[in-house]
Formats: sequence, structure tokens, C-alpha cells
Amino acid sequence: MIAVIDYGAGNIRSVLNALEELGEDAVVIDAPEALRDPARIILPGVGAMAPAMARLRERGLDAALTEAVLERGVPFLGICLGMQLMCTIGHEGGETVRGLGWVDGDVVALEPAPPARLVPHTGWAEVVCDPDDPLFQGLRPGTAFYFCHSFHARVADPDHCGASIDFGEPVTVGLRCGAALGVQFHPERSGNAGLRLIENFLEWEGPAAAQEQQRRAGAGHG
Amino acid sequence: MAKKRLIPAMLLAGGRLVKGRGFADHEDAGSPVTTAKIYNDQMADEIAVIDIEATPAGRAPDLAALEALTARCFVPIAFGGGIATVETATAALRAGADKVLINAAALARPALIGELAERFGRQAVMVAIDTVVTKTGPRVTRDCGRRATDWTPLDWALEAQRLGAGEILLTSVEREGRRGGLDLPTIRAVSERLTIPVIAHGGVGRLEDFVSVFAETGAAAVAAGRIFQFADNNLIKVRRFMQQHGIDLRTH
Repeated sequence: MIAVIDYGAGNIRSVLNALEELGEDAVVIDAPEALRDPARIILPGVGAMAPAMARLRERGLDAALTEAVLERGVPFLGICLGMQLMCTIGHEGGETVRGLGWVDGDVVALEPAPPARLVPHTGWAEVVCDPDDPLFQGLRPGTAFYFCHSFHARVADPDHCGASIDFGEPVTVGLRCGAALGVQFHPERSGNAGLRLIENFLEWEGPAAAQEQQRRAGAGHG
Repeated sequence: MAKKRLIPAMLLAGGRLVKGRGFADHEDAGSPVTTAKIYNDQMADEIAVIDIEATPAGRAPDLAALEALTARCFVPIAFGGGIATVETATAALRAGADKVLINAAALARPALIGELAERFGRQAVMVAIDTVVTKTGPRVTRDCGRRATDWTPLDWALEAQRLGAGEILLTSVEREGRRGGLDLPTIRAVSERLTIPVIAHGGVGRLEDFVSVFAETGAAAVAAGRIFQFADNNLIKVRRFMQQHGIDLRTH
């Protein structure tokens, strides 16, 4: 069962449509009790971190998500704001917001620099990814995905960055940390490439399998 | 950096896709669900959907039509027509829109722009501006293009940006549906001063219009309806032409 978290932060319909197109059953979850036994979790969302975190906390979903993903290793995909929430803190309009805190990093505003750098950063941009990143398997280099955001994540540990774009400077658009993966763009709105990325997430066996693969590769080389 | 965008514009009336000229004389242009699916398959970068009956009729937008056409669409959808409250915007976003497009309601009560931006983030708020060129220069219109206001397009666009708009859809009322070319001077004047994306709309008639708008203005995207619905041009052909002329669009 795929749990799609509904906490009143925007469009979950398009994520459900994408899962249906891929032939997956999804359940919309808005309470922590329902997070006891999901196979995978998707956290969508658009907008600002502060109201989104407040709504997750009100529903007790923040602790339940952390327990499921960090302690039980349930594969997790954060989309757009859902990715940003994985970070420690966010800075919005002079305020500091605490995120879920799974990835050591912060979320800050994109700075516009017209004519090329417009904010919100809206449209399709080519993503530079780590070829080993589980989400980007089978996708051609330079594949473009659809973005629509005014904030971006900065991570302390480069290993937590799975993908980036050129926004005048490199901007992190993919996070990974254990069972938790996140993308700044909208795979559910990125045509066939986006559907493929979601499919990759659905087939991903999780961090244990990834670690095992790494261990074997290491032994092979040694 | 985001690539340029090619956006088919779909007007809805009575649950059907329609197309007019200069905001009038609408004729049937097919099924919205089928047309949206074709645009999706032909790699539209985004689709703008406007319920043109909602505001004049004083009714809520046709969310059933929106829901039906977004079900098999995996590109972003901007939806407008009759959105005047945070509640209606919430319902439109839940029905499958990624952005809401507001026009008359924002002119009547500009604070709506900020309320929507605060609730959904400014990236979800598109302000549509309908313009005419008068003897004293370009002006913003209201009442579906029928009455000119005192706003210049640039001043209203700057105000909308200040209040929280994340994008501007700039439509020339006189040129809409007539295929005589876009209003490049107005598009240039607005796009050169804004830090949010501007979508140029109204008047595309020849393939060259899809190129000149990016060569001569700061538009981030171009939207068109008639050329895709009644002419022998589909998105594939237009995309290819644009790419051959050096416009940076997504390729796969």
C-alpha cells in the first residue's frame, strides 16, 4: 500500500492520478494511526514550510512520519515542499521554521536575477543527477522536469544531494538520506519522465538493499 | 534555469472546449478531455484552462470539467474563471489544478492575491491581465475585455507581483483569436520590469510568432489557442519550428 499524506498543503490529486496511471493502489492518509503499516510513503505539498509543519504537527503526522521512515526504514518520497520539509530548518520572511529534521540542511529563498533567473522558478529544467541515484534509473542525462518553487534546500553533507540544476549556480533538487528520498520538482507533472521516476521509487527496495549492494561492490573491488 | 514554455490555452463553456475572437463569437472546438490528453501526449509544457462562463454568470467554476481533464494529464494545469475566494481556489487545486488563475476578482479586490499566496505559496497564483491599446496607450480591461480601466498593464502587473502573484498571463483582447500576431510592445514593457514569469497570449497566428516573442521580449512562455484548435498546426510541429530557431524547450 502506498500512503499519500494529505495535510491540506496543496494538490494531492495529481499524485493520485500518477499512481493510478502506474497501476498502483494508493491510500490517502491524514492521521498517524494509518501510518503503522504502509509499504511506501509519498509526501506532496506546495507553499510555505511554516503552515505545512504546523498542519503536520496538529495531526501528529510529524512524529509518525519520522518513526516510520527513520526507525522502520519505510521508503519515502517527498515532492516539492515535501522534500523541503525533510530539512532541519527553513528561513521564510525573517522567520525560522523547524522542519522534520531528517537531513542536515536549510531551506532558503531563491534570489531573482532577471532576465534569466525569475522567481518563482517555474517551468522545465534539466536535472543533473548522480547516475547511481535510485530515482533516476533509466532516464536520459539532461532530462527536464517541471519545477514551480520559490525556495530551495541547501544540504551540509554533499552525499545527501542526489540531483541539482543550474540556476546560475548549482541548486540542490534531490535529497536522499536512508529511506528518505526527495525531489524539488513535480514528477507527477513531468510527463513520461516523471512517471518513470515515480515508478523507480515504487521499485526501489530501500536503503538496506542499497547498502548491501554497496557492500558487495566494495568487496568486489577489494 | 527553466526552459521557455509552450502553453495551449483551453476555454471552457457548457462543458465543451470553445474558441472565439476578441473575447466573443465562441464556437465549439471539441471535447476538453480528449484535447487535454492530446496536448499532454504532444508534450505541452503546461495547459491553461479557463471557464469563460463562470464570472459573467456569477457562478462557481466548472470543477467537474477540470477534474475530468486532469485525470490523464501529467503536465501542469493552470485553472481559472470564477475564482474569487480562497475556498474556491482550494476546491480548484483539489480538483487537479496546480495553479489558480484570477482576473476579475483580483481587479475588484487586489488583497485576494495576497490571501491566495499566503495560503498556497505565490507559485500557485497566476494573475491574468487582459489588455487593449487605447489612444492614450495600453490599458488593463475588466468585464471580459469590454471596459478599459485606468491601470496600465505594467503598473497592474507590478502591483500584482508586489501583492504576491507568482506569474502573469498577459492577454491582448483585440488580438485574441485573430491570429494577427502578439502585442509585442506591451509584452516587452511588462516582462522587462518583472521578476516573476510573464506568459504572452493573444494573437499568435504564424509559426514565426512563437519565435519572435522570445527574441524580442522577456516572456517566459507563450500561450495560444486557435492555432492549435482550428489550424493545421499541432504542438509537435510548433515545438520543432521553435527548436530549429534556437528556442530552448524541453526535448524529452
